[in-house]
Amino acid sequence: MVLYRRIRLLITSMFFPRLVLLFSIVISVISCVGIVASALARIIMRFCLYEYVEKALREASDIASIQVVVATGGEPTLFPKHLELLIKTAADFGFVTRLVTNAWWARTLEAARRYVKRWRELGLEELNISFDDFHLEYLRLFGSEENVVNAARAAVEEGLRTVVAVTRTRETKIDASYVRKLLGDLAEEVMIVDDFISPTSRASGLFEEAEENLPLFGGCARAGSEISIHPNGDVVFCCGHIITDPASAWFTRVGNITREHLWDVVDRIQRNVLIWYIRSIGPHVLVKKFFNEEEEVKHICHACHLLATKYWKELETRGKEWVINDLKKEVKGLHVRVLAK
Amino acid sequence: MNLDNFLLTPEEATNLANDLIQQQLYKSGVSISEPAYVLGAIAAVVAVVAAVVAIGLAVVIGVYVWCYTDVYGC
Repeated sequence: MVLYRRIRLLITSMFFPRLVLLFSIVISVISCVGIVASALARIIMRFCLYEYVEKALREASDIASIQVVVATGGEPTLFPKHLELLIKTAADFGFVTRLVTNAWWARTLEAARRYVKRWRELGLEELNISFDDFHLEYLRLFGSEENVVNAARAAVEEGLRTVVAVTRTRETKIDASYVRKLLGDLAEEVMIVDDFISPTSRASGLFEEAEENLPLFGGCARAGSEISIHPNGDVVFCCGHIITDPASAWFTRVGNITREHLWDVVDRIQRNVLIWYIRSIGPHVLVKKFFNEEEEVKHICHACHLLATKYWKELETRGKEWVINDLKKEVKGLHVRVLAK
Repeated sequence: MNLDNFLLTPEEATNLANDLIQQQLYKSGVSISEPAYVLGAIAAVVAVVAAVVAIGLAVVIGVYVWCYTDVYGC
């Protein structure tokens, strides 16, 4: 019975996302780790975001399964007017609103309370604080790790759902237990999430420190269920580590909100058999089983990066029919792996 | 470069979805209605056992009351 339910849930979630999936629109305001925005990002924001944020949210409100709107980056709080417009408009449309930030603005508890109160009044419901060894380096320019505690405390006081998200390697100091100790009594009211880095983009030099080689099962739950919208209007079918990678970001692009209706883009996502494969079977299975079984894949996003770069030509040559046929074979054997897992 | 080469037509998408669902549900003899049958069978067995126990208990209590109490006596 349990197996039956799991299989049925997997299949229905693949093909009928309106019924079971939680879509989230991620408005990405800049694309750099840390808190120093590039001039280019600022220009893009000025000329683009105001134009399409209302359009994107209005169109998203027509798609029943989209329930959460996330402002992320980079650091969205560097663009306060854009951010406030986004939170207010999203809240007015009835979405759950989430802000992802590194808490540079929370040097003192009083300052943190001022910021959070303002966002709360506009309709913010969730605060997600990014904190790890990589963020701490920049955060020290504006305070210390105490910023994270101040931001979390202010958010909890205002009744926001609060998360601290840690990205780590096997060598880094900060992990979930470190954050738990840092937050002290506050830890009981804050969700702490940690994830390994993907050795792509800026982290490509950290290959050896990344997680162990992935086993040959497990799809990507985010592909097709988390749509991100970028400063230039590009719509992306996930919110993974490669969406801003210079070499592989193209792989995730499926449309542009400034030129088309969001529903048309979602429709293309739902009809793309490669996205079905990534979601249900996993990009790493494709890489290892058909292209190079010796390839070390350290993160599911790393697998998409490899498909977009090293193995793209071969994948393109094999084509749609080949993916369809292999998807049928893999889905047939899926229950064995579910049980084995 | 883009992923458009992997786009299915609406008809292809529907057919593939149906194929995959059929494969998953029928490949091991599992059918959509199986859980209902299983639940029904369990419920029937439980109901029969409960009825037998209830009738047996009633008979035992009845015999006891009839034979061993002052009210009726055998």
